[in-house]
Amino acid sequence: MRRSEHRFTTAMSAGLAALTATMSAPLRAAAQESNDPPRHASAVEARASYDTSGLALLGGLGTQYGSAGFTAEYYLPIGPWPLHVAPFASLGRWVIAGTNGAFAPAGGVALAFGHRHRIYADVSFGPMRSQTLQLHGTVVDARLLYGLETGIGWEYMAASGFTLRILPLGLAVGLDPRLPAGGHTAYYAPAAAIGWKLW
Amino acid sequence: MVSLTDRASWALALFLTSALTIGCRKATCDVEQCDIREATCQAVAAHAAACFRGDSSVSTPVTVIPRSTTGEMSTPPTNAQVEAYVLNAKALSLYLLAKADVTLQQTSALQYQQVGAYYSSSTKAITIIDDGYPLDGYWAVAMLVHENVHALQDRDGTLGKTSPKTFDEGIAVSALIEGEAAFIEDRATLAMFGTREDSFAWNPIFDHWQSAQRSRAFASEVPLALEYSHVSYAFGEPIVRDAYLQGGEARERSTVQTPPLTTRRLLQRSLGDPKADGDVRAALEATAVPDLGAPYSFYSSDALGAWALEQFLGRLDQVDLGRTAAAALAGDTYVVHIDDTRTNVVGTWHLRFDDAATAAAVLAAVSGRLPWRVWQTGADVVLVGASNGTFLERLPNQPPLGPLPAASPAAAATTTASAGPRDARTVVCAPDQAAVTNR
Repeated sequence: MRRSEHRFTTAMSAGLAALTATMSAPLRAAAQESNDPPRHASAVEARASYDTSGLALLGGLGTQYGSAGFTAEYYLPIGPWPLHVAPFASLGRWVIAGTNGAFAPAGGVALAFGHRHRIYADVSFGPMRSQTLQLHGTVVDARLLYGLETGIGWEYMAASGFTLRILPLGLAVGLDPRLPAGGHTAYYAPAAAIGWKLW
Repeated sequence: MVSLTDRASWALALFLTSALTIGCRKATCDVEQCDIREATCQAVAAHAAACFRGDSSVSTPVTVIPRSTTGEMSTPPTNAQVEAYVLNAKALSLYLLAKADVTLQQTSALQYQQVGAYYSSSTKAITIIDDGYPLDGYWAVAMLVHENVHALQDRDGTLGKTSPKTFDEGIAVSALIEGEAAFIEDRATLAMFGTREDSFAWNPIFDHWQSAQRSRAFASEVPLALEYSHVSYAFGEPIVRDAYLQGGEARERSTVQTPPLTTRRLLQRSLGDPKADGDVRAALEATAVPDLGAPYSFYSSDALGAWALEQFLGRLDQVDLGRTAAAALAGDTYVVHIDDTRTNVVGTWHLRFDDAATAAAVLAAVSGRLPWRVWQTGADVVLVGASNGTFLERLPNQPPLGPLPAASPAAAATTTASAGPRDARTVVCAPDQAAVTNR
């Protein structure tokens, strides 16, 4: 491992410690049990998608996926723990009543802790809300208002790369001054995605 | 090999790219979302109104009052005005254009509900009605811009430049006054949102708006009393915008100062020829008043115009004919007689169309529908309705029509829709112009 990567890994490990501190002991135990490597671990790990670096493509619903869209994530295993960091970029279609909708880009970074079943958390920047302008009852313009999103939940990744993710706990915070209430408005923001880790 | 920090940089770049997708389009005049209760915001709205109008700014005091105090906007009506309103409403009800038992107070209350703000040229001040909606949104700023346009119109003499002689003319004149304010209000709203004025087609918006206003009018029990809010904005703004596109702010202002004098022109989105319209009206006034004999005497006269005709025929389920006939209405007179008990009324509506075929179609549509005496002479149709049905039975088939007498004080005070907050010194504004929706 190169020195710069090592420093980054150390920082991420500190972040992970904070994340895992919020987990209950039984959950930790269960995760550890389910993530026990199988026999001949070294041989299996060499092939299993959930323990390797690589690109995943998923379709999902949620603010981090541009409302309804696709995301590309690159998993990078870091440190001695079963931990991955995954920067991602998404492009979705935001449905806006009275219009054809809008393309909604979003991007962020995620952490995944575990093997097949893992704790998954992300932070992203992207559209939070849509705003439409009506003149005399007709929508003439629409725009997306941006902010930060964070979510936490569960991800399943099969050895083949099949990936299912459910993030029931999500919070989006609007940072756009054009949002109502001065632009600092929080929303519940759950998400779900399904797809494949390609390699 | 790309390092992890390099990858993180890519992710950061992606964030920034996303952030830069937020629209940042330049407006033609500076105006921004702000709290209209603050002096700086009021100055922003005043400057924006002047900028969009190609004018110099005027400082106008702004007051925000709760809805509950809007009754103080006008002086209480006199007993004579109350009686006159009742009699006129009873006459209009013969043509389904008012409730027979509606009172001046009820109509005034309906009109006040429509008011979102007003400018008074007597106090040179703007009053915003606080309905509990946020006063720091696009809507509030746009409305303040709208009222500031009226202040500018007052300064250059546009307000009061044309003194309407009839109800029809009054609506047409006020439509361009409101149309200019509504147009600039729309432009300010677009600027605040960052939307280019040429980024969408305006005419479908106007069509949709006008259709909605027609529906509202058809649903109203007092369509003429609310004609100001139904007609002025939706039909005035397209004409003002046409003028602006043809000759900029100067053409826009000159058009508002020389408005069409009939709602027919307004509905046709045409300035027309005011002299020709005036000639038709003068000719009609020579044959406006039927000789009803005792116990009826002349009470008041007016011209109701194309919108009223459209509403009347629409209420007889003749919507298409209403549009056609309104477009062909060369002029009209509407005369009210009352009996000596001051309880029974007769309303005579003399309509002149561009052609006899339209007159025949209108005659066919109204004949036998309600207890009117109706006849056609060339391109003219005359309808006589009476609150006392037995009187109609005694009336000759085609009573002779004479000229209008000199306007009586009662007639001057009781034109059809004089009730409510609208008077020569106050320009009131309905709050349904634009909306920003968050989802």
